[in-house]
Amino acid sequence: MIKKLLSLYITAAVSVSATAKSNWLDYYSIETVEIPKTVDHQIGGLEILKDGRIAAAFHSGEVLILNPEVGEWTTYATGLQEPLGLLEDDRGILVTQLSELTRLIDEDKDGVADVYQNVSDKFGMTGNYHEFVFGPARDKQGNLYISLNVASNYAGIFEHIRGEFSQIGLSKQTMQNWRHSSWKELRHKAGRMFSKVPYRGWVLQITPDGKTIPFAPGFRSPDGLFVDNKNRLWATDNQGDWIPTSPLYHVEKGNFYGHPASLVWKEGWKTDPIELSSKTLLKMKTPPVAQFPQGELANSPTQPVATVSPELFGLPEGELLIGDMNQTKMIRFLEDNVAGVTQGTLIPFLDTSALGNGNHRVRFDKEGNLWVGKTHLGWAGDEGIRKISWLKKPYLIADKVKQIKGGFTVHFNESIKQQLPNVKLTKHTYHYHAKYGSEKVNLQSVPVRTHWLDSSQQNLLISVGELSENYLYTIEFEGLESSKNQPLMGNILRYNLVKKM
Amino acid sequence: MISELNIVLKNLLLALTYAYFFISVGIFANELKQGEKLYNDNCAACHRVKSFTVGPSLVEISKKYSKEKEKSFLNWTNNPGKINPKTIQMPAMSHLGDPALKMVHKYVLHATKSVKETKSRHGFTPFKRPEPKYPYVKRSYMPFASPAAIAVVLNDQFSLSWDASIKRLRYGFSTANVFFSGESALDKAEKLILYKETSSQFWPFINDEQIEYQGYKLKDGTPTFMYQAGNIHITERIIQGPKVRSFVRQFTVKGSNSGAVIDLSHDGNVTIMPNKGVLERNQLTLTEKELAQFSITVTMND
Repeated sequence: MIKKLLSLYITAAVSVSATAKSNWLDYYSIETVEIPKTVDHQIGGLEILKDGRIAAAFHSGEVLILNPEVGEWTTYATGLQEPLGLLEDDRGILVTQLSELTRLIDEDKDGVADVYQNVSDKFGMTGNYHEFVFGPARDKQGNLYISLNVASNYAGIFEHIRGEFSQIGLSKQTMQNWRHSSWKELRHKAGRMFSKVPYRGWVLQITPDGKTIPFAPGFRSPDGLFVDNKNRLWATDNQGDWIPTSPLYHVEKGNFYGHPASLVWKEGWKTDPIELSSKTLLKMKTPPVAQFPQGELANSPTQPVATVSPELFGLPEGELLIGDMNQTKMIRFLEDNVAGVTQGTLIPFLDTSALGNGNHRVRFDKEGNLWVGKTHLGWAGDEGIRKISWLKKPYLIADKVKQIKGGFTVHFNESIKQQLPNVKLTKHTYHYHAKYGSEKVNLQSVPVRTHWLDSSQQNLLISVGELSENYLYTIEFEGLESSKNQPLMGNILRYNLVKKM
Repeated sequence: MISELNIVLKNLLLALTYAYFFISVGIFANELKQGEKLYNDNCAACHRVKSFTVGPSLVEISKKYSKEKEKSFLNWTNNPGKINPKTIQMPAMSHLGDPALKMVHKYVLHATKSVKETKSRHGFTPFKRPEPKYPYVKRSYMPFASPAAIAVVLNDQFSLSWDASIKRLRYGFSTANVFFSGESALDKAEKLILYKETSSQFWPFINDEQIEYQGYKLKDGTPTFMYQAGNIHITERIIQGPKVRSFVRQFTVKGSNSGAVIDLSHDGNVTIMPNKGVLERNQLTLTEKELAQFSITVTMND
């Protein structure tokens, strides 16, 4: 009886809270791409080659190339060490692997790489399992960028390492003896994540003449590097110690992006990062342009990519589209600039279980299909490659979210109904601390004073009064529809307010 | 009168019982809902209901932390340890606070009622590497080498570890998987090492670490390593030797304006045969002309 009542109660509660969901599959098809069984189907890198073929890097160490017209894969390279990014250039295909940025060159033009050229190995390796290498991205000047993970103190380091060992903090011998029971008591002295060899936790720049330059510190697990159409470098990072929730950064030379372990490789740096206070670090830190609330929007955001022409994929051109390892959705980033500060809004996209999670590497092909490579590496995720195509049916989205004095304007790609939607606003901030992640801090609802539509019926203005800097505003629409009765696709907008007007 | 009062009281009691029942069911359901949200936001990334993913499934957790063991659940989630060496460490959830963690515990127990564990991790079929075609090259974390090591697997019995950090061959070993998992089984790996170079420096012109590693060419599964010491350009091809457990290193050296003495000191019962120069007490003396192109064959003595 109790069980029955309980289940009735829960069913009722669930059905009340569940709003009528619009279906992304009305607008996009998701196709699974066949992959040979001879490789591990976890995708570290994905690239659309100039000739239209698709290159993919696999967890088992190969780069294979697909001719999409005939659906045939050929092996291009083998024996790579955890490849986590691909980028074609005029001499071959660049690949990031744990030990270096490598150019795979097919010298004899037989379709198989015969030269594995070291483009940059000017960074350290300790053998710690968490020292991944991501990228590469290339700017208009031909500089390449790669990003280096910090190591985790759940393990120590190898007997033989590559690169100089930092004299700050725990000794080399202590860290090599990590399998000894004393490590349990000692490991916190290394910091939860550590950077004991050069430039772990940095983004590196490799110039066209081959110099490797430490570009910007402060990263923890920066899986997604991307240079956009405006030649700006973007990076995503993962929630953890010193990262309250996963962020998106606009990366500029010399800035510090929040995780202190990497600071030991700043010239002249002497302080052990574990001694630094939140207050000191906060003064140094560059705020993220966007934040993904943990568990809601993303847990481990991955690769950003710029959207292509709206005729091809249905989204406005030049937006960033970002994947995530844990959530079965992608995320759009809509930029706003206030007094020279770049900030903006994240909106869920393709929020459907049909997408699956583990969306790691993303690229658009010339026809505007979005190719998504999946991985998990023992964490949450999936395997394989999906090809996502727009079904050329228009749908309603927010395409600009701008701050105005005391509120926001949201622009839609189509006119919306005159009957105003229900708008709910909350704001919250986060703790910046050495602990793993942060709960939402000062979460409060923000009363909407008034909201109205302009004459085009495409601009919704929302007035809330005084806005707060360093708060994440969540704007949720209920029942918002276009004049043609189409539902809003992506109805929760998360505006990261760094600077107010 | 008394009986009427009794009926009224009885009805009142019944009403109160119903009210209490519905309120408590309501509170419980609300807690479950909150517990579910807390789980989705904070735990679902690593713990699925039915299957082991990053961490154990809720089914496994519910067996360990039954209703009576709420306190142990709180202890663990506030300050987790590490039980399974194959998983990553769980971060502490103390920031959620005990009332929230209790709701998570309730949800875990509720969500796993009459649910059975699915055995396979992630639900993915584990990748089975196809039979290898020898020889092949594979970069991997290897024991007794830097993390930038490169394995040259000549055949199913014999392989080499060439280290890109120091730009030289470190050792030869009996082909075994234990060499491709870093330092996870050093004792086992050590016994399988057949040959090990022990000189502090291989090339006399420059310290090993100052040599610039340029990469390798791959032909028929064997590598030709390319590196540079100042103005001196060196290539080193490694191929199968005359026996199963033997290998040949074919060198070209460009830019040297003198000969060289190369230190071939090593551990292991092997025969070393250079095709040029004079080998005495593991020191190979080469003239400038011989240095330009020479090879060394190393064979394990049975």
